[in-house]
Amino acid sequence: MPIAEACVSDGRLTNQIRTLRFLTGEMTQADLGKRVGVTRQTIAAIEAGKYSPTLECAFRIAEVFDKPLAEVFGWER
Amino acid sequence: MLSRERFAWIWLCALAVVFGAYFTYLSVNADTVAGMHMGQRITLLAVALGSLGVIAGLTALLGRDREDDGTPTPIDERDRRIEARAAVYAYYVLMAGIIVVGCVMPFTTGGWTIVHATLLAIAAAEIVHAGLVIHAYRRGLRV
Repeated sequence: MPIAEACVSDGRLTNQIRTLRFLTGEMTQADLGKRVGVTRQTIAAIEAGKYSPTLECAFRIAEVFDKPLAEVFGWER
Repeated sequence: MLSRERFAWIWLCALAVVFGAYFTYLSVNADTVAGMHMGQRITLLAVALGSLGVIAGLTALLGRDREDDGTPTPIDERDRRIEARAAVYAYYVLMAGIIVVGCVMPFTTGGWTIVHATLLAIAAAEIVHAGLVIHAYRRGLRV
C-alpha cells in the first residue's frame, strides 16, 4: 500500500464546545470568539463541524475552557 | 450571513448580469458593433466596467459587518483560509484564460476579439472566486 494512502484515513473532527460553553455558565459564541480572537460565525462553524480550526485556534479554545486539547476536540472514524 | 458572503453573492450576480448583458449585446448586435467607432466601443466597455465598480464600491461601503461598538468586524483565520482557497482556483482559471489570450489568440485573431476574450477570462476567474467563497461559507471548509 502506498505511504500516502496508508496515512490518510476517513474521519471527521468532533468537538465538545457546545457542552463546555453550557458548563461555563452559557458562555456565548461571541464571548468565546472574542477570547479566542475569531468571529462569532467562526465559532458557530467550528461547533457545527463546518470548519476545522487551526492548531493554534484549537489550543486557544481549549485554554479558555481550561481543558486539555483532547477533551475539547476528537477524531471520529 | 456575513458581509463577505453577502458581498460574494452580490458580486456573482453583478458579474452575471453585467457581463451577460454586455456579451449578449455584442453577439446579438454583431454587425452594429462592428461598425462602431473606437470611442463608442470604449464607452460601451466603460459603462459595463463602471457599473461593476459602482456595485462593488457601494456593497463594500454599505454592507460591512459591525461589532457592538461600531467597529468593523475583523477578518479572522476562517475568512483568510476561504479567501486563499478561492484565490488559488480563480488563479488557475485566469492563467488558463490568459495563456489562450496571450499565446494562442494573437496568431489566430486580433483587435477587439482579444480584448473581449481577456474580459471573459477575468469574468470567469471572478465568478469561480465568488462561487467558491459562497460555497465555503455555506457548506463549510474542512481541511
